[in-house]
Amino acid sequence: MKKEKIKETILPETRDPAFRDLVLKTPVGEKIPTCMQCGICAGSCPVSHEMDYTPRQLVRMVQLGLKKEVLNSNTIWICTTCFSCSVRCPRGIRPTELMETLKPIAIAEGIKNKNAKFDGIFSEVIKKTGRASEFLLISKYSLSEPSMIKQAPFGLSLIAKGKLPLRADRMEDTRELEAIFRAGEKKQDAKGKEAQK
Amino acid sequence: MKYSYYPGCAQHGTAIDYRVSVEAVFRRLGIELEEIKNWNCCGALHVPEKDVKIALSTRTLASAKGLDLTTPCNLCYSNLMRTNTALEDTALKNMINEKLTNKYDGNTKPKHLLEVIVKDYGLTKLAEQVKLPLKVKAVPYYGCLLTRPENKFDSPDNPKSLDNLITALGAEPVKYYYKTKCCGGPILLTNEDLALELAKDLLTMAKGSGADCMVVTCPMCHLQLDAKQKAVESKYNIKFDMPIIYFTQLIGLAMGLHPEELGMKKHLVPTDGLVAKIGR
Repeated sequence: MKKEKIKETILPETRDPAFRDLVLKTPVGEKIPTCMQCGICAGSCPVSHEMDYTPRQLVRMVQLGLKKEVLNSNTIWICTTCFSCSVRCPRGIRPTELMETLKPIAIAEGIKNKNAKFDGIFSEVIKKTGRASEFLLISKYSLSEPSMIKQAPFGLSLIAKGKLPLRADRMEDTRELEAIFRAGEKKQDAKGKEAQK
Repeated sequence: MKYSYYPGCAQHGTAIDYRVSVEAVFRRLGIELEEIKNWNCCGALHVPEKDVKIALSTRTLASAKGLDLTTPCNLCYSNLMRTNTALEDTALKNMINEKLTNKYDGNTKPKHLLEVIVKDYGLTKLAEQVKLPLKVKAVPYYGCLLTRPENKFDSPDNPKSLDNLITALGAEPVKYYYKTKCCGGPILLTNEDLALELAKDLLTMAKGSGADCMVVTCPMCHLQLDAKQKAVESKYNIKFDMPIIYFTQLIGLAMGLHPEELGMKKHLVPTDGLVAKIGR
């Protein structure tokens, strides 16, 4: 992922009010205008030191409508969803849920990275089998991600202990689940089209 | 006591040891866990489309048949709690119910197994079941999602329930400042270096506290701290040898069950030293 650097002066043409409005009308977006930049989110975050922009900065960037920088940041993907920021924010904003809201927008915009790839594989596995078989997840992800070779000893150690059954666990009947996912895919397509406009 | 039981996917894979210990301990305590038929994954943290994710947990909540619903997994628990909150939006609830055969009325109460033991069964009653007071020092590690974001069961920053459980079993909970700091589990495949760094911090503080083991309540924390401990050790060139024990295994040990009945041979970090210290 390439970091989109914010220019020292933010010019009107780099701001995208439509993107800002799209986020502000989501459940988490409602309180975003009240952020006072206190930074307790960034201070509570266990991974902010590895982020392009801390959660505090990201909230401000959403307020400003800096779409390209927000959607290309690694911030929304390396968030571990621990919710430390969210239970501490004095304004009741849940930055974790902001990350969750931004992910499908980024995917619809065609953003690609290994986290998005993993989420795609995860959704696909559940849609087909109804359960998250760790063996299927690890093997499918490893096939598309060469760096996973480093984690081979980890996988093998689990297999040796019988903790990675090669026969994937599955639901007896997945029809209802497929319907749930199909409805979600339709929504995602609509979002993609909206983003293209 | 009877609950509708939602095991979650890990119980059929990497958390087979947890599953064995849950079954052994709950049977002996006389708490009946009725597994939901044809249950589905909660989506963990990896289903980006929000409505899909909420629908997944709604389907689970709808299967509880009037009983309280319990789960051994922090991720499942957190998703179920969040889903109940999201479904306060009636329009959303109706939209999701349209897709489900089994409609959800919004009244199922999800509980983590720890809550079932600490609040419903009760620690006084549990202490009466202790045959072998453990006399070891243990880190009470709660992880993120047991108490966040819907902190209805215990404090999100300084929870006490697991501390109290450890005390009730005759062991000593050590002071541990990272009780609810993230273990890195959710990014262990995609951002390994960062995940290992988070685990290293937790293990370093655990070692420094003089603890004999860390007690966890979540399959993801266990995977990250037990199965990945070797990777952390080789990356940072530190030796931890820190046994990671599910709280159900700790209960089982105190009740006098054999470590093998509790799945402890399945751990990646050997638990023999701890077991010897306990006096089994």
